[in-house]
Amino acid sequence: MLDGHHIAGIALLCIAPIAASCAGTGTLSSDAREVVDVEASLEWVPGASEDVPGIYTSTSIEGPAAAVLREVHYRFAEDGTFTGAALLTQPVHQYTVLTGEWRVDGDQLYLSEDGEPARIEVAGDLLRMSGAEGVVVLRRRSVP
Amino acid sequence: MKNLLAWVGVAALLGWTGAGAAAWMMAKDGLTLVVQEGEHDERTVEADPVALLRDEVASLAADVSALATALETNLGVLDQRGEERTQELSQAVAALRDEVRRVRPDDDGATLLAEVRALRAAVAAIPTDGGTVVVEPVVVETAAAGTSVAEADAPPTAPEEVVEVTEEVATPAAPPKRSSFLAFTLPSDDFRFDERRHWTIDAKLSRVGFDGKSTIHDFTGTTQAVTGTMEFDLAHPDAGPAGSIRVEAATLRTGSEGRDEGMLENLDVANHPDIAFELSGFDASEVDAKATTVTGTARGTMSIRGVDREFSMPVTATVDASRRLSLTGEAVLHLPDWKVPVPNKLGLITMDEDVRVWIAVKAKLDPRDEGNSAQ
Repeated sequence: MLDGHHIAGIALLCIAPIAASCAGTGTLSSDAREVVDVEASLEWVPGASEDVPGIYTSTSIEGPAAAVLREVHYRFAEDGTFTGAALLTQPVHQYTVLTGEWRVDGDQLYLSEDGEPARIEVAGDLLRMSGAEGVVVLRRRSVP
Repeated sequence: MKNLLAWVGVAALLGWTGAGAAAWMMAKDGLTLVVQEGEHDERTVEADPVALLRDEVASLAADVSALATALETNLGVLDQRGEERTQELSQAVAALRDEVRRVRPDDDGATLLAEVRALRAAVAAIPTDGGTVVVEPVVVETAAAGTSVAEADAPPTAPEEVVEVTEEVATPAAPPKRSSFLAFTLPSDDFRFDERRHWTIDAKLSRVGFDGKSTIHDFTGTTQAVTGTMEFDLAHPDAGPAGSIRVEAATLRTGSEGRDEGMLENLDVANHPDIAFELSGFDASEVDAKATTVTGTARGTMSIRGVDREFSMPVTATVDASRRLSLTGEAVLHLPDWKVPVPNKLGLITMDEDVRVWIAVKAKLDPRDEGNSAQ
């Protein structure tokens, strides 16, 4: 006959493997608490001229440009013209707009004659522009 | 006889008088009377002193009247100018008071210095291709002892000097501003470490959570539904910091639906949807301006489940290249202090009454003049 001690022993034997499997830390490491930039982990490939046409809105801005730029929008037309709008944060919030012509040489996107080109990379519907002032990731919009 | 003589006398007298009158009538047109002052001869006519005095008094009265009229006009003009000058001085004093009020005693004129820098940036942004430009009237205060300090590389100037620029000035041959790789001309970054600024938490880049321990499994609850603002001078973080962080409690997730249901029930999120921390002070342990990093302990009031209690958390604040303030920290929180029930399953699975709460938030620097505006 099974008395109380036997039942308790059997119960402990049954629970022990489960408890052992669950034991250990399930907490988030302190190094992993910060929000991860998922875009950085994407497969980025050098962009080409045919990747550019479209309407884009920024999803992230990093680097010195982020200090003065809140968001940026572009429309790159297939005829080589473009228009853009940027929401600046200094000295106050204000939009600035411009138009011009774009061209791609290698993976360099030229948007002005006097400024440096942007290195372009693509990943899905994302276009990443990199330069000395930072990195801007733009998402292509479905707006015609 | 006597009567006859009397009548003859009368007749003679009348005749003599008539002859005299006739002679006077004939000679009066040929007479000229000349009076010369200062010469005492028979032709000088002595003037009546009373009449002269009367004339002089009348002349003086006329002069006094004219003088009074002129004085009245001049005094009116002077009075008007005096009022205008007084008004101008009053306005100048009021403006100066406002300026002094804006400069806190402990910021070493940082506000004015920042304004001077912003002014310089604005001047630098003026297009140079036109050769000459009209500069809007600006007033730049420099080196007023006790109220402002000049920028380190600025030339020394006299105290209380006010320079008003209104005339056309020729712009120096500055190099043209280049467009960025985005084609936009980006304004200069006006961040300074030693300046009180306002920051707004960017939920997309922020996360807060807690680590709990139970008898069989440790776990972490997190959420990105965090909002808040902060305002302080990083160089002097203990000088009146302000700020708050608010977490939407119902969004906390631990990775186990059953556990989450119990947790949210224990937090009574239906009646107390927010977990909030209101910053009241900061005890700095290290300020590294070169690394733009501050470490110390943030003090304030933590509100959980409707219970407010003092709470402290050691934190590290760092400003990165994107001018975002990264704020990280952690501290142990004793759940019963906030009347949060601690889960206990039949005495077999119990949770530790202490949890480690942590924050890993990033905040964007707000424009200088839009500290409290909507983002």
